[in-house]
Amino acid sequence: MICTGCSCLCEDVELRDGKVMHACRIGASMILNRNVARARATVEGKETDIDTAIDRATEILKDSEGVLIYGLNYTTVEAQRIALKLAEKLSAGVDNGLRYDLPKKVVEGSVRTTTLEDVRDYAYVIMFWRFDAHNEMPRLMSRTYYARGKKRQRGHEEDRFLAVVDVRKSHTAILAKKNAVFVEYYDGIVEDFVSAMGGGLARREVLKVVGELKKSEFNVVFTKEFLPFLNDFGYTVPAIPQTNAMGFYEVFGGRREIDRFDTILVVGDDPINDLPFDTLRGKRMIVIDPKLSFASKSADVVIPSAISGLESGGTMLRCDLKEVELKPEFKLEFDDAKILRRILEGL
Amino acid sequence: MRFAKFLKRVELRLLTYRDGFQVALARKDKFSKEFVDGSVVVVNPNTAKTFGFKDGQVVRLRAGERWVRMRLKVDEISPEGCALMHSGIYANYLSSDRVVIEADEGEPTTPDEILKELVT
Repeated sequence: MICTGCSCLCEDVELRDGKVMHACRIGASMILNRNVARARATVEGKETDIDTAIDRATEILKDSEGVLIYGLNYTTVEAQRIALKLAEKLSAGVDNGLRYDLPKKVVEGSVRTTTLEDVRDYAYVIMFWRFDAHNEMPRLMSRTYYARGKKRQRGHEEDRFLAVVDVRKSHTAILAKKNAVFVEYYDGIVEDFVSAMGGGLARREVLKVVGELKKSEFNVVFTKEFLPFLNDFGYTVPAIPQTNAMGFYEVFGGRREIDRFDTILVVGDDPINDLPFDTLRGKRMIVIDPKLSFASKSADVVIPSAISGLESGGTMLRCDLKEVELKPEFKLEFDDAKILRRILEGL
Repeated sequence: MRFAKFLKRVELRLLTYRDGFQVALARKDKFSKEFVDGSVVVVNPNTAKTFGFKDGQVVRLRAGERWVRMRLKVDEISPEGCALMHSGIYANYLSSDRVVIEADEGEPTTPDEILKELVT
């Protein structure tokens, strides 16, 4: 099966006799606990059937003066495309809760990207720029930095150079040992990289990283941020852990602002983790989610859905934009795409 | 500096990060005791020593009018002079880049207690 725990979308995860093989702690938790804390269909806090919940959601949306569609990072490209039609029909705002400028530039092609397989096979310098891979995408390093590849047969300590740039000594930074460097983020570090790559002056640790670039033509940065030196450095992979965030950027291009809204349609995400509380206060909220979320506790309507990838199929885009066909292990009738389509048809 | 040991109350810069263990627990059950217990504020060993905080103790984090109670964890993953939290409901509720941390007693704040604020 394809694990939809994060945007690595690992293809080697298996469910055997109730045990999850090869998954990281995020994927294993998602798969093993799929029946724990499931959302139930509710309208105004009262339990109901899913059809009634969808009908009530449709009525609320029809009656709204402004709608914000929120989330969509954990759902399929198919559901995102229906959400796009819904947004157009309702003249709704769309927000995935992320505030990064890099993904859009990668989707547009102005920043050069590569695949995880090519990073494994060819990359020499691998830089994690303010990205804690160990926590955010736990198997990313074992699939790239630690893995042996076609042109990288001698192991990470000899055949790769690891650079970790962060404001703190993250769990990933602690792993920067032999043939590796941890650079503590400082004001002016971006300018230092630009300078060093142009042959100019910079702090010693930045010069060390840039010096290593000359040993290979295949170097890569994992980051969420757009940095002016990315294409000179080599390739860039957006380090956005949300499962199908890259699908969101492919389908929508980016966020769509809306001046005023009185209703939030949440698809597979939790705005209470991200949006300021005052933004949510007094708004009507419709939540489509497989699990009981913070948002679902205060929602007007909750519509339970299938866990994308585990209980329903479709496609997602991996962090490196590779399209991945999901292979669900279980099958539930109502997935995000079906629910959104029903709402769209009802409008 | 010696007096600071007895104050056990300090204003620190608040940083957030994505904690893989909390993400895994959130994928299981965001309202479970495990999730609440795993929601900690992390301070650097030197910062903890300077202000007399101990690993595992309950602290109150205040930002303006809002506060939450959490367990404190001492770990070098937090930079000196900073408080580090998983980017989730607790950090979003505080919505601040600075927090006052002081020793407290009692059980950590639950998500349900925070959510009550939203509907009042």
